[in-house]
Amino acid sequence: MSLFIASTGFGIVVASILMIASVGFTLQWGVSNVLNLAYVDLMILAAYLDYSFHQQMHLTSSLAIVLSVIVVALASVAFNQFLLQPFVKRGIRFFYLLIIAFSAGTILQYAIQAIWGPTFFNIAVGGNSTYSLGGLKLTLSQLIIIGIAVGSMIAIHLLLTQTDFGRSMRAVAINPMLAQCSGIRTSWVLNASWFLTGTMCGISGLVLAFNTASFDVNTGAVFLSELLAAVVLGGIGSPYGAMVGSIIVGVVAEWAALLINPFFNVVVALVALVVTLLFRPQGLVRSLTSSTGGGTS
Amino acid sequence: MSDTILSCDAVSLAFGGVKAVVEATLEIERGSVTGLIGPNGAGKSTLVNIISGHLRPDSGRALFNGADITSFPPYQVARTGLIRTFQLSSEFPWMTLLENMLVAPRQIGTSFGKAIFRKRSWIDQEYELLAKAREYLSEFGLISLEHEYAGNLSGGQKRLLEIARALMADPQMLILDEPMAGVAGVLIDRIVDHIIQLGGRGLTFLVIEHDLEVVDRLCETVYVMAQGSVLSRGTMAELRQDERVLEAYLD
Amino acid sequence: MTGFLLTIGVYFFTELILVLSANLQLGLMGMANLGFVLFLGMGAYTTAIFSMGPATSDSLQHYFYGAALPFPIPLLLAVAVGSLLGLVMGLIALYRMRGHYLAILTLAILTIVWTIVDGFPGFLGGDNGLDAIPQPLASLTTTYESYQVVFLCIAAFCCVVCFWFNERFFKSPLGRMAKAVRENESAATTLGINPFRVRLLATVCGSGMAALAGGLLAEYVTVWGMQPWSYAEIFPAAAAMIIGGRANNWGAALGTFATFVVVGQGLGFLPGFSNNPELSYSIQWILYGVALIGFLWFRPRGFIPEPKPRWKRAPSSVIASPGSTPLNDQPTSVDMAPAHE
Repeated sequence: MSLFIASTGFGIVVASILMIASVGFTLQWGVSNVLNLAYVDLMILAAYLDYSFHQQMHLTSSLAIVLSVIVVALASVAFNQFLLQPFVKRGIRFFYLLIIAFSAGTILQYAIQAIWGPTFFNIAVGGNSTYSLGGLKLTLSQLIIIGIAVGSMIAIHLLLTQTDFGRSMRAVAINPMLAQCSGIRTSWVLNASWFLTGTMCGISGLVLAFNTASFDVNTGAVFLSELLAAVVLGGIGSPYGAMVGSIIVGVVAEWAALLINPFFNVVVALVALVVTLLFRPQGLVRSLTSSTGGGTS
Repeated sequence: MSDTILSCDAVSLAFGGVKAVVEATLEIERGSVTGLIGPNGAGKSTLVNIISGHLRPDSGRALFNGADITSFPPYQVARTGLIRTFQLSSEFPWMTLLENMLVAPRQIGTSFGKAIFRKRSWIDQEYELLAKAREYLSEFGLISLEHEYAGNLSGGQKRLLEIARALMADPQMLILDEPMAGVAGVLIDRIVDHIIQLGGRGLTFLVIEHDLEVVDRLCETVYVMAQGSVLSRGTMAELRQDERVLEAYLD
Repeated sequence: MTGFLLTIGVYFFTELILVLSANLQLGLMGMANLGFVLFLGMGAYTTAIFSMGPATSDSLQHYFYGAALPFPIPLLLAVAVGSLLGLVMGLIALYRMRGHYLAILTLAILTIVWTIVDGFPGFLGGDNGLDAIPQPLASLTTTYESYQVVFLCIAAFCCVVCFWFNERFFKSPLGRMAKAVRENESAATTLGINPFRVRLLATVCGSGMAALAGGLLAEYVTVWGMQPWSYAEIFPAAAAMIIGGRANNWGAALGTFATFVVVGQGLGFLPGFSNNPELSYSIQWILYGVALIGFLWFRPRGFIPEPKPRWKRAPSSVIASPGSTPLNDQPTSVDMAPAHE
């Protein structure tokens, strides 16, 4: 039983990482209609950057974290502005846009490997002192991760509902042309959205690496499965759906890993994704953008 | 008395709370050129989508040559001999005009076994259809562009291609959804002439159109739709006197 | 050196079969069926299992079943199993899924199967893979090099068969139907085409081909593991197809040569890379990615674009339908008597 509780605790941590990552991912999809397969590679880039800034260049821990996230956020904006948008303006078929994102991700993955080498690295925060929280034993590091996730979700919620920018973002996600006609500077909103979601990408990459004993480029690649599952379960384009999807995927996947086979967290997540796509492609939670969950069909 | 080729019987469809089509009933006589007019949002395209199988109605039936096609998927509707065109050009852009034309008819060579292993069984038909396609393209004045990609055509030329392509499928009835939309004046006359000529050969037409002058020239009978229901039916002259029709257009 | 060239030849032909499979599904059919490498793996495992014989208790590898069937039966079984699995995947995925959704779905299915195989070593060898896969017709030759020549002929033959198959498919009315569904599915349905049927056919055939490629690779290298059919391997095959010219089989050959042979093997010869295999491996993948994006920008239809159809016979006189006057074959006059009532 205690194993089960421990696994639930671990599931909550994974769910926290997933939440930050999936909200960023799903908002990118909602706003730009692109399945950004390079997302997980950008995530892990943040971890590599933090390692270099902190442990190689000896910047302070906080400065390293902030810098890493900013670089990834800027990289995301550049990715959209200089790689995706030119192709979109040409009217490229969506399938090739997918290939382009896939290519960019691959280039990034192997560039990272070429620069840093194929070895494993380690970054950590907080330390290993454990705390008891209603039967769950979590390390400080894990608590920090959960805290970051909760904080980010509150921030996103406030941003989307209370600010002009958030409303503009939602408008662009629902109907870009209409948004433009009603005076929203869509290209600015687009870039700002990618900066925002790029920030989430960077943060989630850092917490993913914090939560892993040692990481390499594949850590990100493997994460893609659970990320897609959380996003699809929640309904593509819906940040609140992504939050719900992350909790479900994170916790259930960990239970599966415990009860069946350590590999099965990925399998269960993906089976959930397949079932959702086949029977309820708009996701379990109604999407923010449209009743079909956004995206092309 | 008259031979009905297509009929709709109290067809209704609502999207969410919006009633797109309400108890629409119409009868098209074989060999006629019938018009379907109405203000924007009247439900004309939706009704056509229901007939062609792209949408399922909530209630009502559509009958073609006596057969109930209400629940047929679009490709099955087409195989009964009822072909429709779209409001927006629907050519196959990266295929040549000849290829576009050759997609339409039923061919022996679309069966898997024959396509791969028995070329001899379909190659003769291929050349027959090729000749037929060339004839049609000539009739429509497109023969010089036969090896051009269909996506490179002008709006009006695409319309002509779509009609020519539909003819290759040997239809009994053609539903044209706004065939004149986006077409330059001279080509409009050409398309009208073609429709009249084809009507004379026994092909039935249902034409959705906004240009009332065109409808006047083409159609003996015209249906008027507004707000999802069929308001009235008659000749253009009759409809011009009909108060309900005038109201619908003025609203 | 000859041995090296012979190996490159074998890789070229087997990878080309995989790229032809991608060309049929992604190029001609335009489906976002990204999971095609799954069938590469399944074909390899099928061939291995049906040629190795049952796993003995003292062998270091474990897998289920096992039979020692002679060449070419394991390869034929691979095609059969691949096609069957392709049919299952098609029935699940193709009925309603399109675009992004189909892409994710096929990737998910690929990853699920991959993870299960990886996680259960008793099933298909798991992470350790399978080795000592018997070489077909090995008894015919004495030296390894002469065996390579034999295998090269086998691979080339299979490749030519697949190439012929693809050409027939593409250039037939069936292929034209597939293109129409790709270009404008809505319009295609209004002309009587059932898009699901064409897509399913393309998937079944493509899967069978990919499985054949997998079987050949497994038999040549005599080992098989998780890496050759992982998610990343989608990329070079798709790159080869797009760079060479999608929906063009000669383009697929050119693309396969450019990516797998020139970039894949050629990098190792450049100074600076020959003693750093890790770096050259990374640079190779980066090059694939850059080339792919470059081509999609500057020459999206590839080196050799999809050809316009040509009909070789001169226009003969139209076969007049009974009861009407025969027409001449100069199709320019508008007021020809129409022959079709």
